[in-house]
Amino acid sequence: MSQRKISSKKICAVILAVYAVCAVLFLVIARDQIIYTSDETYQLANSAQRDLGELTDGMEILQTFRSKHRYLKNVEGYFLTYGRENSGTVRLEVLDMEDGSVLSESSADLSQLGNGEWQTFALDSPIDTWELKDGIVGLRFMFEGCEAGSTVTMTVQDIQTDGGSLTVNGEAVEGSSLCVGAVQYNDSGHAVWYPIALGIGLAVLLVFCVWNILAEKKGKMTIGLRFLYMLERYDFLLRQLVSRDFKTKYKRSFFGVLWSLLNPLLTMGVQYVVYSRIFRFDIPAYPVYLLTGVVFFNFFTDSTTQAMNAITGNASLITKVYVPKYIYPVSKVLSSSINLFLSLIPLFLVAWLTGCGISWAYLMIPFGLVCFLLFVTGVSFFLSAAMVFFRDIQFLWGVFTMLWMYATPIIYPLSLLEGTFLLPFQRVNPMYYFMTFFRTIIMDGVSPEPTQYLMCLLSALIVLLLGGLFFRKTQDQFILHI
Amino acid sequence: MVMIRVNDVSMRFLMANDNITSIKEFVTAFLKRKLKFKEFWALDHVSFEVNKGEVVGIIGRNGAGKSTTLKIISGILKPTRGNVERYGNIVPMLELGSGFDMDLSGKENIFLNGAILGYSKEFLESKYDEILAFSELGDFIYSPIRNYSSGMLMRLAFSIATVVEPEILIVDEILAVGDENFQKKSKQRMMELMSGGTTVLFVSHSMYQIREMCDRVVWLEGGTVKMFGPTAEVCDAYDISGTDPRRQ
Repeated sequence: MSQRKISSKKICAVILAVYAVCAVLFLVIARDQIIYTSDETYQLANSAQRDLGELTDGMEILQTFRSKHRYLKNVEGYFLTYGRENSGTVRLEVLDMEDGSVLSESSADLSQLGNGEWQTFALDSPIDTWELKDGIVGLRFMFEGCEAGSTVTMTVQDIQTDGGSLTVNGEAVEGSSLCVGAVQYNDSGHAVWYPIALGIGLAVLLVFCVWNILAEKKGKMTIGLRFLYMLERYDFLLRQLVSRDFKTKYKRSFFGVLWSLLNPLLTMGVQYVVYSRIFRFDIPAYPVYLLTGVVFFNFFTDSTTQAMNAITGNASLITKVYVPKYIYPVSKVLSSSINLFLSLIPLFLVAWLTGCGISWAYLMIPFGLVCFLLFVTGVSFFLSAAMVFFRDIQFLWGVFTMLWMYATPIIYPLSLLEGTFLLPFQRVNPMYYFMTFFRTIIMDGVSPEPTQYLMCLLSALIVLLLGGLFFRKTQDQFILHI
Repeated sequence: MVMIRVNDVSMRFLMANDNITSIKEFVTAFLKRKLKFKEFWALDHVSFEVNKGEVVGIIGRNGAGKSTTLKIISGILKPTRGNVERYGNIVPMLELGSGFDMDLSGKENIFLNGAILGYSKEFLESKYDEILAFSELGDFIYSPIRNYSSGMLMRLAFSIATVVEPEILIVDEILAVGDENFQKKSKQRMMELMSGGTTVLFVSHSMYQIREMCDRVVWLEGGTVKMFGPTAEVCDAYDISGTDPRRQ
């Protein structure tokens, strides 16, 4: 056994520190997602049966409703413009119906409204509707500077909503509701468990570290120590294999490493032109949406395809020298992950250029990346081992990944799948979870929901475990078949 | 002090009627219930020990189980029964050029190959000049090895393969490559290595080399140890059996 280069105490300290920093970052960045539930839109009425006629200067529409969730974040209104240019403003006041006081207000320019589109009225700060009597909220739309012939109208539906009443210019309209929506959310109610769970995790990790250090002093072997020794011993080989794969990939091409940046951009460019012109998906910041999908799915396809040949391609070595065979697929995944990191540069650039902005939530990307890499490693273990016994897999896998790509919302929005069997499929589709995770961060600039973190972690660990077990079980047979 | 202890090792190979390498073949064979295996015992209750600093030769005819024994000792094959205890790191003398990458330079290949053989970066850096000098490649070391002549490739491969500092060295036939001058040099290098006090397991068909190098010899026949003892004794018996008229 060669001399120990690294002390396990130091490593334990690093692991614990990294865990603590990550846990704190998570609690800070995902604070809103932990404390509150995700937004839900409570639509009082959504099928426009009648319109209210041209809404001119001084007209007032008052719609009340009983709040469904605790907080009111935004209000959405449905407008018809008669398909013409209008002028004037519509002002929304959110009222406390007990004393008629104005809780918040927001306004929109009539010229900005789209025909038959929902207009969002953003409130300065969320309103706690539990403080209102019976949770009754009033929404008053007031029209200013609107001339007949250049103004909009709103619509109603004949439906009675809970605690709701509609008044147009002081006259009650019985049995009807205005087509408006309330964007609301609740307290999640289990926010306190997150710090506790993370604290328990830290304690478990601490015990594990102490146990390992004690075992090392006594000269015993533990899983953690064995892993550490292996890493230490084969670290240099792993580096050499990774650098070989990376160096030879673009070795004889003129642009070299630049292709890692160009490739996703070009793919995205082609797909963007095709899908945005032909299919016209209604997705905000579509280039970013598309590029996120392209970058991560391409990495998945690339690395698994390469790792599939990790064992069969290194047959000459495996039959001659003993090296833990895990190292071959792992090195393939690592070398293609360099490409992934490089192609994140154009992704962030496009996100920044299209106005998505870089936010603190970006600090959560490494978590997703680590999970994603573990997931890919698990798949690679399975593929490289299966490839030894059945060479047909290399042909099947190409078709399979293509199928998988089209079954995952990469180029189209999730809403397109409504009513098909593919929608429930997304619940068990790890790629969908990873895509959603990265998209939430990059496109919305906020942390994903806590369940998203959990799903990413679970997908990674389950697949890694299954792939690893399959590899372990079959690895002694490799030499007889390659 | 024992460096390698081979304890009652048996190795069974299952030979399918045909080598099934696709799902289609597998399914059809499975459905036809033709998925039968023939058992073949390549090694049968093999036991011997190698002491520290000893050079042990393995002799035997083709198919006697020499390569299988070496593979089991170096950990590449897992024995069906029995086990091997090793008390030191084992370095195989690689078949020349396996593990080379044609697109990398000679220098990069030295580090890649060295890493595969289990050397540290520091060790390779300290030995780099020696390897370069021995291979006589000069400035060619910086160009991709796909541009090398076959002689240059062999010289590089040999130079890497023999810059070893193992506790246990496994040699499958003595390597002698290149032009006459380099052949002499490489042969001398091998001899130096093997007589340098390291534990060596040596397989050869050349009885002359075996008699010259080895302290003790294992004679394998049909997967069993026919004889294990001092070189002269075993070699004499082996030579006699080779000329035995009844065996011919």
